Amino acid sequence: MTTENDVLARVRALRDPAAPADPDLLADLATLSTPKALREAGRGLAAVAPVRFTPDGRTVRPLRVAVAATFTAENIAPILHAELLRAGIAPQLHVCGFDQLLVELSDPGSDLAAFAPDVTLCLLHDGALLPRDWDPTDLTTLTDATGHRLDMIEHAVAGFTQRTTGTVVLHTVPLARNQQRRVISYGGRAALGRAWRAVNQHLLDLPTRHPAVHVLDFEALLADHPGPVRDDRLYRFASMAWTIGAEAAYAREAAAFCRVTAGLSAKLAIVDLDNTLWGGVLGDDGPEGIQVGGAYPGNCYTDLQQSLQALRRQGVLLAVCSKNEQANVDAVLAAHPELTLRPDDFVATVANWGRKDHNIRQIVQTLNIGLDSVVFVDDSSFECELVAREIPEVRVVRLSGDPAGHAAAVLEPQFFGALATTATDRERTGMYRARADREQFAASFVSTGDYLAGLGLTVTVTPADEYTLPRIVQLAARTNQFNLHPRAHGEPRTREMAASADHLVLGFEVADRFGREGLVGAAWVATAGDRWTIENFVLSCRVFSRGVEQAVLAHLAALARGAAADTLAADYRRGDRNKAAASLVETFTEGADTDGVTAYTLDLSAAVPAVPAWITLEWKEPAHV
Amino acid sequence: MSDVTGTVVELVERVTELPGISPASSFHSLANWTSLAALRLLTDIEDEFGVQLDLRTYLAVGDVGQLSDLVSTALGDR
Repeated sequence: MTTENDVLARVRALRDPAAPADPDLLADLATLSTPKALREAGRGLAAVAPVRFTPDGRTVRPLRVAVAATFTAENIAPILHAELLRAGIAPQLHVCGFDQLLVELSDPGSDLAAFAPDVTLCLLHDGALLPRDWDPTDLTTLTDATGHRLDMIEHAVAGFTQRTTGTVVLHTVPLARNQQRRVISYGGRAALGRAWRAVNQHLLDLPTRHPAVHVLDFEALLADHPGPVRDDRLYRFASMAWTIGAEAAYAREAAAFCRVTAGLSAKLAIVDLDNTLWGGVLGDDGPEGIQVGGAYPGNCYTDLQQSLQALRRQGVLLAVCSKNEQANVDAVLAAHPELTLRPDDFVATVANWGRKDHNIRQIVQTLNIGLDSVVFVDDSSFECELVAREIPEVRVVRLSGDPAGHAAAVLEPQFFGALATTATDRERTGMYRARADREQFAASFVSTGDYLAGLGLTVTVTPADEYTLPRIVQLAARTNQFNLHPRAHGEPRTREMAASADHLVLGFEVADRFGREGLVGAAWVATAGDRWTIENFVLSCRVFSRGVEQAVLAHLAALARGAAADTLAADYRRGDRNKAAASLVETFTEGADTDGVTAYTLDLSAAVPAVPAWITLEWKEPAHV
Repeated sequence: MSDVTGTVVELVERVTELPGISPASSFHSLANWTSLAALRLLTDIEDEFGVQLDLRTYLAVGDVGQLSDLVSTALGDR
C-alpha cells in the first residue's frame, strides 16, 4: 500500500537527526494498518524526539510503561510504542526479560521497581498457568495447579501495587488449541472449558480485591481476531507465545488503557444528524422519510443511537452539530417515534448552516472543556476534513460505507474510556445542559479562506439536455431546503422552459478533490427583455456553504449582461423550510411582496457578482440526442 | 539481482537497520543480529511472500543469498 510505505519512508527519514521536522507525521500514523508497518514505525520512532513529528503547539503526554511477561515479549515493544504514540502518549518503555514477571514484581529492588512505571502491563500465557504434563483424566489436579499459580501471581501483583503508585494491567488468557485438543471426549472438553474459564474468572475478579489492578478481557477480544494467536515454531524455538497479529491486538487495547490512565479520554461526542444519526436528509426527505428504527438499514442508525446513549449514561456528553433548520431538528428529536436519543440526551443541539468548526469551538467553549476531549462524528468527507484541518486536537470519526459498521466505528477503544464510572456520571448531561441552554449558536455562514481554496472546487454549468433533465426534475421535487419556490417546476414545465427561446434551464455539477458530487442544483430563468428573472433555484444540501450558488449567480449575471439585460431578478417564496435559499439573494435588493412572493432585484449596470476566488467555473455545451 | 533477492535484501536492511546488505552478507557477521531479529525477519518474509518456511532450514541459512534461494524454492513448491 502506497500511503503506508510513504509514512514508513517518512519515519526512516526522521531517524537522521539533521532531517527537518515532520509535524504531520503523528496524525498520519493513523494510516498504518498492518502490524508489520506499526512495528517498523514504532522501532523507527523510538529514538526520535516526539517534538520532531508533532504539530506546533501540540504535545504528547509522557508516560512510563513497563511490560513484564511470562514469555518472550520483546517484540511487542515497538508495536506498543507506535500504538501509544497514536494514542497521544510519548512512552518511556521498559521490557522485563523473558519469564521475569514474578521475580520483577516481587523483588522490591528489581529493575522494574526502579523504573517506577505509571502502568505495568503483565502479559501471561497458558503455559505459565498449566502444569506441563497435565492429565486430561484428572482436571481436579489441573484446577489446583492453575489456582496455585494464579495465587502466586496475585500475591506478587498485590505486593507490587502496595509498594508503587502506578497501575498494573493483567488480561484474560486464551488456551492454545493443541492444549484444548489433548482432551478428546466432548464431556471432558466441556469440563476443561469450565476449568479454563475459572482461570479467567479469577483474573477478572482481581480488580474487586486490588484497586490499582485492571484486567483487559483479551480472550474475548481474540474472538474477533482473524489470525492465529500462536505460531508454534516461534513458541517452541524462542518462547514467543503470541503472533505479531496477537501482539498488535493486545497493544491496541493496552494503548487505549494507557490513554485513559493519562487522562486523555474523550468527554464529548459531537454528532452530525443526516446520514449519521439517521439515514437520509431531514430537510429533503421530511421527518417521515428519514431511516431509523425498524428493519435494515434503519436499525443500524438505531444501533448507533443506542451506543451513544450507553456512552451518555456513563458520563460522556453528547451534542448535535448539523446543517439543518433548528426548528425541524428540535421537532424531530422531540417527536419522532423511532428515535432513541431525545433532546435531554444532548448538552447542546446546534442546527444551522454555519461552519462546523466554528460551531464545535462554540460548543466546547460553552461547556468549558478542552478541544482535545472532543470526538466529532460525521458522514461527510468535506466536514471531516474541515474539522480535522481547522481543529487538529479534535478526533474525527468519518462514518463511511455500510451503516451497519457505524456503531463499531464510534466505539473503537481509543476514543472513550474510563477506569471506573460512578453514579454522578449518569447525571453529568443534566449539569452541562444548563450551561449550553443559555447560549445562542451562530456560526458564520460561508466557509471562506484557505480551506476552501485547497478543496479545488469546480462548478460546471450546462443547459438542461436529455441527460440532465430527469435529474433536474428529480432535484426540484426533492429539494425542500434550498429553493426559491418549493416544487414549482415539475417535468412538463421544465421541458417547456428548456425548449423555449425566452427561458433558460441550467443544471450544475460540483466536483472537488474528494470526487464528483454530480448534478447538485438547477436554475429556471425567464430571459425575455432586459430583465432576467430567476423563477426558481435549487441546491442540494450536500454542497451548502461553499459559495456554489454565488458562482452560478455570477455566471447568470454574466449571461444576462451579454444579452444586454440590466436587471437580474429573483422571485422568492419564502417559507419555514426554504430559508437556506436566502444566501442566493443576500446581495439583492428586497422588493415588493405579492401573495407571499418577494421580488428581489440586482442592478447589473452597477456591479456584476463575482465567482468566488476558490471556485473554477466551467461551461459545458448541452448534449443533443 | 532477482526480484526475490531484491525484496529479501530490503527486508534484511529494514530488520537490521543496516544499509548496504548484499546477497553475500553473512547473517552472523551483521551487527544487531539476534535470534529475535531472525524471527522478526522470518515473519516479515513469510508475510511478504505468502510462504511458510521450516524453521530448521531457515535457521541453518548462512547468508542473504541462501535465504533468497530458500524463499524461491518455497515459492516454487506452492
